[in-house]
Formats: sequence, C-alpha cells, structure tokens
Amino acid sequence: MISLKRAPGGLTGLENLGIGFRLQVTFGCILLLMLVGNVISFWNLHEVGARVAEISTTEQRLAAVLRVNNGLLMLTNRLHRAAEGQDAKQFGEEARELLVAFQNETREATSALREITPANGREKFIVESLSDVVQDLPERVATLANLAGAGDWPALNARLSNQVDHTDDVAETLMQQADIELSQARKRVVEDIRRAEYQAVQTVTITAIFSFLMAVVAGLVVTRSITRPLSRLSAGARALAQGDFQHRVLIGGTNELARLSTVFNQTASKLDELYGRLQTSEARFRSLIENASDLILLTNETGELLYASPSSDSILGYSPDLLVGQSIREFTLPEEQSIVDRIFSDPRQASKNSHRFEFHLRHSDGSLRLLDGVAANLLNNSAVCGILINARDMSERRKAERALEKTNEALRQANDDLSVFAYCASHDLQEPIRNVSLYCQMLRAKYSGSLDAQADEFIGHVIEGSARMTALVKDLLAYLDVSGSRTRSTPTLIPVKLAIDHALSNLETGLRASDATVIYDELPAVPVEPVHLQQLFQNLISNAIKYRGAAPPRVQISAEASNGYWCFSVKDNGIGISPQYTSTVFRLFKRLHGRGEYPGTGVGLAICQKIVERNGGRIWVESQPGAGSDFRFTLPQCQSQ
Amino acid sequence: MSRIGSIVFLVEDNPADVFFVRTALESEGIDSDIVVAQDGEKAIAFIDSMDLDPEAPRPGVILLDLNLPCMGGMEVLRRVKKSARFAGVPVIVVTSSDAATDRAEAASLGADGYFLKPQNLDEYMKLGSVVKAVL
Repeated sequence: MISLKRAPGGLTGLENLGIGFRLQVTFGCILLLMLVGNVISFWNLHEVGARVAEISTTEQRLAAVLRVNNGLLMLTNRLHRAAEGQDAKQFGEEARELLVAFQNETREATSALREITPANGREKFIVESLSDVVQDLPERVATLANLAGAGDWPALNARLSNQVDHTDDVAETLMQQADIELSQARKRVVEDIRRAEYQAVQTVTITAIFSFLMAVVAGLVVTRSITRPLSRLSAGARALAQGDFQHRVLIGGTNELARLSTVFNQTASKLDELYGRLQTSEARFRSLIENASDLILLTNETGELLYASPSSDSILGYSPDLLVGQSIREFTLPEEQSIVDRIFSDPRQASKNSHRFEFHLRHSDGSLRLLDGVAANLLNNSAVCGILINARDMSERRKAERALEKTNEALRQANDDLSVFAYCASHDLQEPIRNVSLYCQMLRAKYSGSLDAQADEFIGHVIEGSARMTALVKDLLAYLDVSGSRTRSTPTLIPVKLAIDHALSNLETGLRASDATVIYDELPAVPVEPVHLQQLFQNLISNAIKYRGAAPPRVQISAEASNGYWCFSVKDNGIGISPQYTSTVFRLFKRLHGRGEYPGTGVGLAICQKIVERNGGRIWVESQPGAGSDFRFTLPQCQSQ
Repeated sequence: MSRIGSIVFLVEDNPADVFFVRTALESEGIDSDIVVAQDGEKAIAFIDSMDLDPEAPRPGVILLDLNLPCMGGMEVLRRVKKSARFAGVPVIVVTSSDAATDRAEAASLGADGYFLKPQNLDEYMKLGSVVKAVL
C-alpha cells in the first residue's frame, strides 16, 4: 500500500533553491527594508540636527556680536566714570588699562566677529561697523585721552555718550534681530522636526507594512516549501513507526528537504527489506520448531508453560493452547519430582551442555510417555526468557528395545538350546556309530574270505562310512564346543607363542614327516582361552602341512598392532586357494578337494573362524593358486566387554 | 568255579561294548567270570552286597564306564574307593570320553587306568593286555 503525496506544481525552478537560501533572502529583504527605514530616519534626524546646528550657529554668532557690543558698552561706561574725575593723567592711565582689559576679555569674540557670515544686510552692517569700531578703538581711546589732556571734558563726555548711545542702539537692534532670527530659526526647526517625525512615521509604517507583507509572503513561502514537506516527512515517520514500511515521501527538487526525503525513502525501503527478511527468518524458525517431531516446551523459572510446540498434540494428547499457562508438574509423576526440580535448579546456561534426563509425562489418555530430553536455561537470554526443554518420546523406542531384548533373549536361549541339542545329539551319535563300526570290523575279522568278494567290499565300505561318520561327529563336536562354551571369566593374556608351541607339539609327527618348518618372531599375548588359541593355530598349521606343494612346508607367523587389535598372519608355501573360494573356504564342512585327494572333514577353518569371531576379530585369507596362502586374522589387544 | 580274584566286574550299559570287552578279554586268554552291572545303582548294590558277605569273592579288576544311566561312573568310582573290600581292587575306566577333565577326575578319584574306547577293533582288543597286566 503505497501512499503518494505530490508536491503542488508551482515555481519549479524555485523549488530547487535551497531552503536556507530562501530564508536568507527573505530575512535579507526584511533587514534591508528595516535598514532603508533606518537610513531614512537617520537622514531626517540629521536634517534636524543640521537645523539645530544652524540655530546654534546663529546663537553663537549673535552672542559674539553681543559680547563685543557689551564689552564696548562697559568700556564706554567705565571711561565715563573715569572722566568724572577730570584728571587727564588718571583718565589716560585708566583708559589704557580699560582698553587692554577690554581687548583681553573680548579677544575670542573679536576674532569670531571677523569670521562671521552675517545672515542679512542689517546684520552685515552691524558687524562691519562693530569691527570697525573695535579696530579703531585704540585710536578713539587715544583721541579721548588727548581730549582729556586738553581738558576738553565736555567733548570727551559727548563722545562717550555718543558711543554709549550707539552701542545701545546696536545692542537693541541686535536683540531685536536676534529675537527675530532665532524665532525664525526655531520655527524652521520645529517644522523640520515635525516633518522628520512625519517622515519617520511614514517610514516606519511603510517598513512595517512591507515587513508584514514580506513576512506573510515569506511565511507562505516557508510554509509551502518547508512545513508542507516537513509534515509529509513526519507523516512518513509516523507511518514507519506504525509499521508501514512501504510508505514513501515524494518531495520534488534537489533542496535539503528533497534530499532528506530521498534518505527517508531509502531508509523505509531498507526497513521494509529487513522486516521482510526478519519475517522470513521468523517464519522459517517457527516452522522448524513447529514441524519438529520432538516436544519443545518453554517454561518460566517455576515450571509454568509459556509455549508448547504443536507436537504436543501427538506426544501428550493436548494441543499447545491447552498447555500454556499450566505447570509442567501437572503432567509429571510424583516420584520423578526430583528430576523435574533438577531441570529448574540447574544454573547451567545454554552454552554449556545441559543435563540429559529421562522422565515420564502423562498423556491425556492416562498413559505414561517416557521422554528423553535436554533442558537449557535461557532465562537470561533476552530473546527467550525461559527454560527450554527439548524431549523425544522414547516410549515406542523403549517398547521396541524391550521387545528386541526379549527376542534377543529368546534367540539366545534358542541358540543355546540348539547348541546343547546339537552337542548332545552329536555326543550320543558317537556310540552307535562306534558300535556299527566295531561290529563291522568284527564281521570282517571273522568272515573275510568266507563270503564273496563283494561282501568283503561292502563290509569295507561300511567300515569306511562309519569311520567317516565318527570323524565328522568328532569334528562337529569340536566346532560346537567352541561356539557353545560361554566365557566364564575374563581370560588373562595368553602368550601366543605358548599356544603355538603346544600346537606344534601336538602336530609333531606330521611336522617331522613333511619336514616342515614353522618360524615366528615377536608375538604378543591376547585375551583368548588357551585351548581355543592353541586350536586356532593348530588347525592353520595342520592345513599348511596337509595342503603342501612340492617343497617342504614353510609356515611364517607374524603379528602387527593396529587400532587396539593384533593382526596376525600365518603364511604358508602350499598349494594356495583360488580367489573365488577365499570366502567359502571358512564354511562348515566346506572342502575344496575330494576325500581322495586330501583327507579332512572341512571343519578346521570353520572352527578357526568361530574362535576368532567369538573374540571380536575377523579372519580372511589372501591367496593365489600355486602361490601359497596367507591366513590373516585379528584378535583384541585387551579384553573388551 | 570262580577263583578269588578271577572275577571281572564290568559296569557298562551298552551291550555292544559288553560284547567287545568280553571278546577283548577272551582274545587275551583271560577266562575269568565277567559280572556285568548295567547302571551305577546296580553296581553300587552289587558292591554293597559283596561288602556284607564276607565269603563273597573279590573281583580282580573293575572295568568302569563313565556314561551310565542313573548314577554316573564317577560316583561308582568314588564308592568303590570308599568301600572297605573294594578299595584295593584296581579300577580301569573304560569310556568313550577323551575329555581331559574326565581323565583328571578319574585319576584324582584313584582310578588305576583310563582306557579310551577306540574306533578300531584292533585297538579295542588291546584292552585285554591292559586287564591282564593288573590281574
């Protein structure tokens, strides 16, 4: 289920612009606007400042003029006073002092006066005349001093009064002018301030409006290009959190959010893949457990069943949902509680082999099932958190085992009976055969020649036949003796050399008659009954002598160790055996030659095989006709159970 | 008339063997009476009755088969050697068993000889000389 959210069609080119870039541009514009507004305000304030400076300059100007004028006035008044004494000398001195004092006091103002730019014609006139006066002042004072010296005090006073009047006029004029100019200037300033204020308000308003518009636009833009994709991304994240790994977020363009959506989609598809794999894996392991024929149980630490595999249906007769929540002890036998306790008290973790134990569980039909299982303590394994019991129903197998044992026992018994029977029968056969033979021999002794030749022949055959029967029975008894006898106790290690020497002494006549040599080197000791061991080698050596070739028989006996066994070799230089008969030659009564060629009943090798196999070994022969025979057999190195 | 020491006491159940033993003894010229007991019990009874009768002649030799019905030959041998009168009588075990255990047991019980019943008639006849040697 794929949910697609397309970005609205729009400024396709702009979509590629980075979000950061867009935001920067927006804020940049806003800042720019604010800057512009500020610049305008500052400019207005600057204008106001200029105006104020203007006032200040005007004031300064007028102040300078006034100061000079006042200084003149004061000077004149002081001169007036000085003239009252009508002392020309005193007047002259005082006038000079006053002049110096005036010049000192009004130095700055005087120099400022020279630099002033008058605002209008009248002012210009005042300033010029003042400048002239100030310049002429020493001269005028000198004139006054002369007058004083001449004693023309009225003329002096008249001049001074003139000056005073003049100066007063100037002062008044200046005052008036100052008033006018200043009030004009102030008016202008107020106007300017008002205008500046107005402009500022305008600027702020416009800036605010523009900013607001920009903010709205930017907001819209931002909303469009940032929050919508973000909400799509968060919807996608929510979908992921809820498990919908197929959700994809489509955001067009190549900006940061588009890239983020690409990453998101990659992540989602990766999660989808992983989830798919996890599901497959889970399904697989689930089906492994559910299809296992063994009973798989999971319990908590007190034995309460948390999970039972479906095989509980067949093994216990309960379906898993009936078992979950029950305690396993509900199904175990009271006398086996200690085994159950051990399962839950065993602190061994799953990494080490847990105990293997056998216990019974009660089937729903009341019968007991024998189970053979292992328990693993996985309580600390965060994925499992329980005790895992894996058990196999052994009831059938146990039944089968017991049946097999019974059968084996019966078989053993039957075998024993058969052996005993065969032994007894053979044993009891010996006597009648012997009787027949002896009577026939008596017949021959008594009547040979009295009856016809055929009768003699018949009697001879009967005697031969009985002799053969006797031999067969005797050998059969020997064979049965080997198979029938039970090992009473673990035989001690018998040196093979001893057995061979016994056998050789039994075969002494035959050995001498055939000029046979038997050689052997180091031979070990084996846990075989001495009689059997001797019989084994005796039969083999006897065969070697019997089935000899043209050369005198030479028998070589050796042994080598391999895998807990001794591997013996009895090699002769006799007539050999054709490979096709190398296995049949060990069969009971099996012969490869007629009675006329070589004597024997064919039981010797069968006895050898019986002896070797009774002791857990194997016997075989490697031979070629005319190339002698190498009889090989294995015997254990130590007594095995 | 039986002479003292000229009775041969044969304990044997097989009539054929009785015949062969008789033949063997005859071929050696021994003409003693042969008293046959066919099983161990009868043999013991005979010995007991002989024991009770002080006049009864003692056999010169006892030929004892081992494979007897009822009581076995070894038991008879034991009883013979325990008997007051018969302990001194040589006992030759005449049997078809060639088992080493039988030979050993017979020897330990005090048998004076062990004759293996052969297949060959001529060999059988050698029993005669064996018996003659002890009579």
